Amino acid sequence: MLEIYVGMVLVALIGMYCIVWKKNMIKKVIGLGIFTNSIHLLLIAIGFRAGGIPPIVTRVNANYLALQAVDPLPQALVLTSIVIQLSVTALALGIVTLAYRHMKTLDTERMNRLRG
Amino acid sequence: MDIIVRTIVKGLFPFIMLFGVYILLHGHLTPGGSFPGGVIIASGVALIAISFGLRKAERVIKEETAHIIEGLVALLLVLIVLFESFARYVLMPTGMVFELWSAPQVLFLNLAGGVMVSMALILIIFLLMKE
Amino acid sequence: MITYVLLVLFAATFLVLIIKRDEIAIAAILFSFFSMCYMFLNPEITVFGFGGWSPPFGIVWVLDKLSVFLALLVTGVSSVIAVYSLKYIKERRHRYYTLLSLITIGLLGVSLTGDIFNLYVFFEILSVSSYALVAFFLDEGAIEGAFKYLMVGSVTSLFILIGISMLYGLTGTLNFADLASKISHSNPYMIALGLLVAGFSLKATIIPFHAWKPDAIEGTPAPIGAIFTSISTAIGVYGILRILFIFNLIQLNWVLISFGVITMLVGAFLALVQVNVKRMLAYSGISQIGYIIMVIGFGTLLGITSGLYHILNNALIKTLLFMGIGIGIYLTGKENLDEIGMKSTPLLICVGIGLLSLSGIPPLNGFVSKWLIFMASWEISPILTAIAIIASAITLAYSFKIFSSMFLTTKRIEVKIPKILFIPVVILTILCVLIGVFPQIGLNIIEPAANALLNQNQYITAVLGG
Repeated sequence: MLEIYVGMVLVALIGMYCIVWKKNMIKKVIGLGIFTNSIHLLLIAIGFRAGGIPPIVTRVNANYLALQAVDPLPQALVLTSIVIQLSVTALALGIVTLAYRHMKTLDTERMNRLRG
Repeated sequence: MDIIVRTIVKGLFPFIMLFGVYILLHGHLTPGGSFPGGVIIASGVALIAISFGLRKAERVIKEETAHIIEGLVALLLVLIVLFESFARYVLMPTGMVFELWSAPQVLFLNLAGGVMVSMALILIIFLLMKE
Repeated sequence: MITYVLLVLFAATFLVLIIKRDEIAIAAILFSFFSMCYMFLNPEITVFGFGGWSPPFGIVWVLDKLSVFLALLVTGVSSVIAVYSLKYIKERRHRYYTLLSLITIGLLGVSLTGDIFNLYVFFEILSVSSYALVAFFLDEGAIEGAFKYLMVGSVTSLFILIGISMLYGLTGTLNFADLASKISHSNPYMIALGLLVAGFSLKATIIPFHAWKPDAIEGTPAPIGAIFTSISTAIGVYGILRILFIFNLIQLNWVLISFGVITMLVGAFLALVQVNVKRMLAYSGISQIGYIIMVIGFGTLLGITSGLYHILNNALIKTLLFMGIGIGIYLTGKENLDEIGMKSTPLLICVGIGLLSLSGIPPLNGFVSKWLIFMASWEISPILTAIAIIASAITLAYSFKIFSSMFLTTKRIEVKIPKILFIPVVILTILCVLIGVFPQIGLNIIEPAANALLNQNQYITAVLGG
């Protein structure tokens, strides 16, 4: 279990590095996606039970599912969060397309029209 | 895109749509439901748009049709939430495991949500590709 | 009842796009305001479980006095802005009203919910439609402001999600009342508290997290700037209040006090040197939030009451000022301070009352909440009162700067103000004067809210025991 948490922190740091250091707008959006996916990994890892089965009702295990299955609630939370990430990424890519059409560049170092 | 991609996409497109509808309809029995089913249907149309160009994708579904379907299904969602007791007791029984025509709240909401998600994603792909 | 309010707003969002009429959205937002007024008259805590599922298992919406106060404030300001935007926005108005309805759904959901993941979902609805509205005018300043806000806002919302997942892993529940009865003050809980407060501080524009605000407000239309400065920040402060309420930590807290003092002073000093009038009002909003955070850090009943009163007054005054400035921008087409001079007596009276109220001159409503803040800070330490008075003096300085460059310069132009733009300004001016002369009107709404915030047991029994 500890390996999953360490892995989550590493992926989150990689995502943060992409958001902060890269100058291309599309690379920043990709970094946001990496960071979001690391948090989804954390959420699913919290609901883990050692030696558990998937939380699906089949004909074999309909009676004792709650004792053996992994926790399905974080999986529902992650589904909702994936939808939210989809809409944020779609909006971000829309803004990137708009920026390219107006300013002919995707370099954030060159976008400094607002001052003060 | 070159001819290998076009041939394979032309052959795979109906199976992708069928798979998406399968995941959409069996949302109350197996993992899936409205959101993954809608995304798979939209990715089928996205494959056509990338490999054949935007005009061939317009022949699958037009942009104004997608707008209209999305708005109407949103209103249908509102109606489903308002009249869910009607659906529960009159149209179909609940609580029967392993049956396809059961669990009315989940089934109707899955259908409506899946259509909305697929139309919205098709619109996003068309708008992003119209340079 | 709550289901109908949400459904009407949601239906209006899509109807505005299909049938191209904007009045549907305005009617839906006004309907939500009147139903919140109706909910306010109920003296007990209303618990509403969606789908009939009872509290720890299902999602509940809890309407206690604090939630209904914020829901009233949010829908009231939103309906005034919706009427004002009928004339202000000239093109692509249907998309504007769709996004405005979505923002109202998000704000209403955050203030009324009783489940922590539902809070995150509605907070994201609010954030995503805010990002879209910042980029509404498709020019370069708007695009830059929108991209900055999107990057910083998404990362900070993900901090809230990390905090929620830590709380779920430690306690096993997502309901506010259930969490409040299971939380202790050991180290893992404190880390989750820090992450959650940091996430909400971005919307509330406290000092290390304020950097998106001036660029975003410079790019948006003036009514959306009003929404960001008045009710979006109020929802950020409400988020911090609710998280502290769950953790039972509403007590003397020097971290919040020091952040509040820094925010007050930095916001006021940076507002003095601006040239663009919307940026100046944005920094002024940051400064007022500093007052509120400092006073919440005191933890006394007088502190909480004055903080909530200042949230109400800040919302009214900032909306009034942004709408007044917006009339100037609409009629002259320019945004810098030395280019919007106008020769119009009714607008002079309304914006003048707004600026006097911002600085805290009696008998207007700004004076009531500033006096309560001074009294609350005098009990803790007289140095804080002195700092608050210095910040008020700087507020008076830049208010006079705005007033003199709009109405006292020599190059003013003759204007005729359209009625639709002017009636919301008049309504808010009358409200400001009324609350200033009869402060009991505000206290009747706010004292129950402050009492509800300090009384955790009543909330838990109403949700779980009933």
